[in-house]
Amino acid sequence: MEIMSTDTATSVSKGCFAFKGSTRRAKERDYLPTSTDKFVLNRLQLYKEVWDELHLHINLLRSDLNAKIFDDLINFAADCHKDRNEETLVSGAIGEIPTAILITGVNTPDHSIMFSNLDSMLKSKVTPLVARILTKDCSRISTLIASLVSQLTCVAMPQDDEDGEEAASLQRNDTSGDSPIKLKVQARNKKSITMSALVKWYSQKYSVNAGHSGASPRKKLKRDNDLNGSVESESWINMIDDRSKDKPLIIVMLEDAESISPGVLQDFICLCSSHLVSLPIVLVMGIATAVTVIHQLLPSSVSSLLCMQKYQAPPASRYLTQLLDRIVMAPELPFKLGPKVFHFLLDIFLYHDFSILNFIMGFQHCMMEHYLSNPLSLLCCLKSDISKRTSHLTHAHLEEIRRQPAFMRYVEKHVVGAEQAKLLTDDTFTRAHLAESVGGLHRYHARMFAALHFLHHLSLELPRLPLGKQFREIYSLCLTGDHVCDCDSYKEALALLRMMSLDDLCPLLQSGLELISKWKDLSEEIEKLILDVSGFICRLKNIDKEPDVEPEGSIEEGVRILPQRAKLHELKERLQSLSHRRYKSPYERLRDELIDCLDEHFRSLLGSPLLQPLHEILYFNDLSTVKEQIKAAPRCSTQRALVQPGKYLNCVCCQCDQESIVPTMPDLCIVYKLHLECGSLVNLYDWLQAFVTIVAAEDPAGDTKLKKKGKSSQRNPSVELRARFIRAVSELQFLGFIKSTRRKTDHVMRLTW
Amino acid sequence: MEVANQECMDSEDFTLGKTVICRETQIKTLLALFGQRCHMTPGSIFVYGHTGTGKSLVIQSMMRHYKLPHIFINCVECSSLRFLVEEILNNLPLQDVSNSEVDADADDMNPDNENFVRCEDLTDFVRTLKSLVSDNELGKETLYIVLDKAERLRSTNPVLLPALLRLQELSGLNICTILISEIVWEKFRTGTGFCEPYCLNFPDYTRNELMEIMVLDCPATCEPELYSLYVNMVLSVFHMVCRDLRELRHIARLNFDYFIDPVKTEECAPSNTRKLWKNVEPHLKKALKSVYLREVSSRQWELMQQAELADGDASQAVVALPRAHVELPFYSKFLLIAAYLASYNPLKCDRRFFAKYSGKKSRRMAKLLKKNERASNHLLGPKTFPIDRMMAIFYSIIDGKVVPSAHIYVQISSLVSLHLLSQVGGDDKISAPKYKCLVTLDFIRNIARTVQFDIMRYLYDFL
Repeated sequence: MEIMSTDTATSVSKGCFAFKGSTRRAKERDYLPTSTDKFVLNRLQLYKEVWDELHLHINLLRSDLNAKIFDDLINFAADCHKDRNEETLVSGAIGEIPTAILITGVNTPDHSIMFSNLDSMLKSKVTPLVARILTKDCSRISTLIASLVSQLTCVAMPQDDEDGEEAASLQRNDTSGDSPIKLKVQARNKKSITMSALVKWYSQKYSVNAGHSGASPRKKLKRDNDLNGSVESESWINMIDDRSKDKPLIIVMLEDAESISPGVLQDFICLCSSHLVSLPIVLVMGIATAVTVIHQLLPSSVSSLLCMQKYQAPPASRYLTQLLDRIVMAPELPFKLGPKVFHFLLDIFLYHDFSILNFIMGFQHCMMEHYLSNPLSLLCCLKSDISKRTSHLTHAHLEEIRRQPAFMRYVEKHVVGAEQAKLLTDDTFTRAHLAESVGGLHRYHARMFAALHFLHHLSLELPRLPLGKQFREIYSLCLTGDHVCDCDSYKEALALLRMMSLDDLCPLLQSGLELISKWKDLSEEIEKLILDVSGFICRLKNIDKEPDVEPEGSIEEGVRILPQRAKLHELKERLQSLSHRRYKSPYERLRDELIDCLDEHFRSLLGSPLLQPLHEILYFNDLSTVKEQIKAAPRCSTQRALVQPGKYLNCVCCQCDQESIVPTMPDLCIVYKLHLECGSLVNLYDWLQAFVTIVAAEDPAGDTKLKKKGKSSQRNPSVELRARFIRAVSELQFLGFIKSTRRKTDHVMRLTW
Repeated sequence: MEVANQECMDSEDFTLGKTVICRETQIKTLLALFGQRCHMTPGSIFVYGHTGTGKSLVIQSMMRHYKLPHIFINCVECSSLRFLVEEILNNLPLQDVSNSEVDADADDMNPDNENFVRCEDLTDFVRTLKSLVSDNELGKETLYIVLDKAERLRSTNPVLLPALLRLQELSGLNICTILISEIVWEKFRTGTGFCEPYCLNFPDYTRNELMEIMVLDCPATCEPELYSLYVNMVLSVFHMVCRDLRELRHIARLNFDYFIDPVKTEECAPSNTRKLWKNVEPHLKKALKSVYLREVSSRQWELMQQAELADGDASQAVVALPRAHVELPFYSKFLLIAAYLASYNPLKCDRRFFAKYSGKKSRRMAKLLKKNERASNHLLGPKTFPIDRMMAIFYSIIDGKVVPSAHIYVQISSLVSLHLLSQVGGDDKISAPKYKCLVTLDFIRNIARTVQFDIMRYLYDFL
């Protein structure tokens, strides 16, 4: 029943549950429709393998992308308190908190990953005392400080080898993380937690360290100083060294400074600055929009307490470009998005949220759907695994594959003669054939992407960029159309290439070749392309040696045709056409030859992937199944459910078209449909009457009774009916379709149109 | 040791051992008020003055210099009465003051500690304070309770402030409450029962005083005379716009390298004032543009300046651009534009802009109507609008069909969290929320330009 309903009706609640819960772990198997599809578990296994591979790539990319700015930031954090020394502290010269402003971009869902990366990097490289302040902690200054203190004091410190007594006292303080500490934190919550408590904790903890390991030499040195002034500078350096070792920085990360209420933020900064003497605090503020926000949030008296340094995270669009280049548009990974899904995911990113996280989740969802719903995806694996995969296919697997419409289509269209029958009956032959065709797909990808990159590189130099600035644009052209070479922008690009000068063309081709020759395992076709192009480059470089031969059909001929007497406009046309057929230099002829050659290559290399045989194995193009899950439209589905409950509930009695109202429908639907007929204000009494009329029509048993009572029952419906009506109305109100109004008595207001 | 003795030692020098300068009168007054250690002092002293006039510094240094028993509390932290009084009680300088704080209260962080004093109300506070003071024999000397940012106390508890002012009277102990605030005493009188404190004003530093203080920052490598020359130059440029000592010091530190460079490279002699001035003037003028902004630290500032020197004014545009530049998703831009239009256009002209068949008014009528308008909507500021209106405008200005998916509504709330819109409190926050657009005209024009939308054509004020 459950499976049936998910097959026929669509709802918001339909979803996939592959994410592991932390407490009660849901098993994937429970959600898979094993009854209808026997090999879904095999595919689940395969999906996991491919996804792990992909996930690795994504994580690599993530760390690469932010590496530069994180390094800068970490250096800043590590350096900023270096020049603190006690003299300046006492005189209060440093009132400024070193602050790193991290401009993160508006894609807020992605930030938590970024900050957790930064957090772990800071913890490992700079100081163990790092606190991340989330927005939910920032409703009041006291909660903010409580969160800060609890994060800092729970920190596990590396235990140094220290002599008995002191080690014991230390251990009492930081029994590293386990249950006693947690209990303490809870108890502390009741107590007042203030910054001065933190100061005390800090000075106690780290001066105990210093007092025994660091301060004893310091005292000695001090005594030395009294005796001998010359040691002073040396001892001073020692002291600084000691301190930086013993007194770790405190880094406070405010993840989303805009969403913290300005008052709290101001207070917090004032407090930090007033305690800066005893606590080496560094702030890291995440800002989604622009630096100007700081001045909107903070008055100058507060912002002058900050010593800001700005770090701009790479914009989300660049991140996306890299992600697409490495994951979606890479020949190595087997799973590919079809044009519709590709555009859909891209649109969500560009038009809606700029969120990489959502994009990756959408991509993952598509992948899951592919492996779940398409039995052919059993073969969607990495290139190196193809032979292993195909040899493991059993007879049952093959039968399943043969039953697929995509496979049938392939057999009918692309295979001829005896092989057709063989494919359908002979298992070993089919295995070999499948391996061959999947391998063929991978080889096709390798050469297509190489050629496409080459073309993209050439088109980047053209005026007005006919093929787009980003690689993804040209890729989507390739995905969508029948053939890239048939579309107008490609023709325009070639026409522009035909007009390029020698000085531009030669280096362009050269760099393009360099680009694609970096690719691993180039196919023969690409090597031929490289060979051809490099031949042309040689000829272009030695353009002087080209024979200066004019092809036949030259100017004299045209002049001879020129009529003696002609009408003016005819003569004009003729002359114009003559002027077109002017003399061509050797370079121009060579260029034409080159472009024709390139065109030929592109035509053979850049066929649309959707025209490749058996592309269904790798390509997922079923937008309708994933659309509603990735881009939920709650209002649309609520309305659909209310208008067509029959489809939704999968029950026979309520099947009807959109307009009609059937008495067997749920009360809520009847009430909803009735209210659609009203204006902005709905009269409750009329509504009730209409409702009663419809519901009473259903009840044939009560028919006679009603007739006897006549109009009186109409006017005063039974208590049960009234209750049902009121309940339906309040449900409608709960769903947000109506609300009560004071404008008119016994009326409610409609909120939707 | 008595205060009087020390006073004799540095008789005419009220600089607290040369740590605080230019505040001699105030220190003298305060010392006179404090009297000798065992003397009773006025019950409460109110210290006020603008930010950066050395109020907290003077008080703190005095406490430290003369080793007076005191508690220093920042009122920002102590948001409630309980916080404040517990803070006072638990931080009493119980041990001998000359011992450092390191081992004073070793177990205080431990919450199970029995020494931690709990206190809920003022009666309790006064009683506990009395017993604590008498137990620890603190009564011999005046105990100072210093409350920084005292203006915060006004909003906590109406009885707290009067009680603190009368603490001496209530407890009968030798206690002095010092309030430090940036606002005048008159603004504190909200309830009754105030005991008037002794008010002491810290006036702003004069130009000469500013100079004297800023010369203290002189780096070790530089001669004091040269540095004072430099400070004089800085002040001559900035004194007109900025008197904030902290800001001035920041500026001086940022630009010092430009000043000292020619001297270091021996391009010009330290005595050649004119040349030095010529050299540093353009940099100071440039810094004048970004005074108070504090967007760059000194290191980044240097890098920026170097880059600018390297390739002229080309990079200035690059630096100037990203300040207010915000990247937004496509629909968010349109939502923001719609919100802006809804905020600044009068409701009645929506029909004219967005309906297909709007009744066309003759130009004369339009002019007449316009005359009747009192003022430009842009002068009046943004108006609130319901979400329905914004969505209606959104759907009419965007071409192509947009499904009202959850993504769209999420974008509205993310615009709110980015402070580009703000939700205005109404009776009905869930079903009919109201918003206001917070961005400026320049900002929205930039946004509209990126999506090729001519916003000026849709703004009523600019027709």
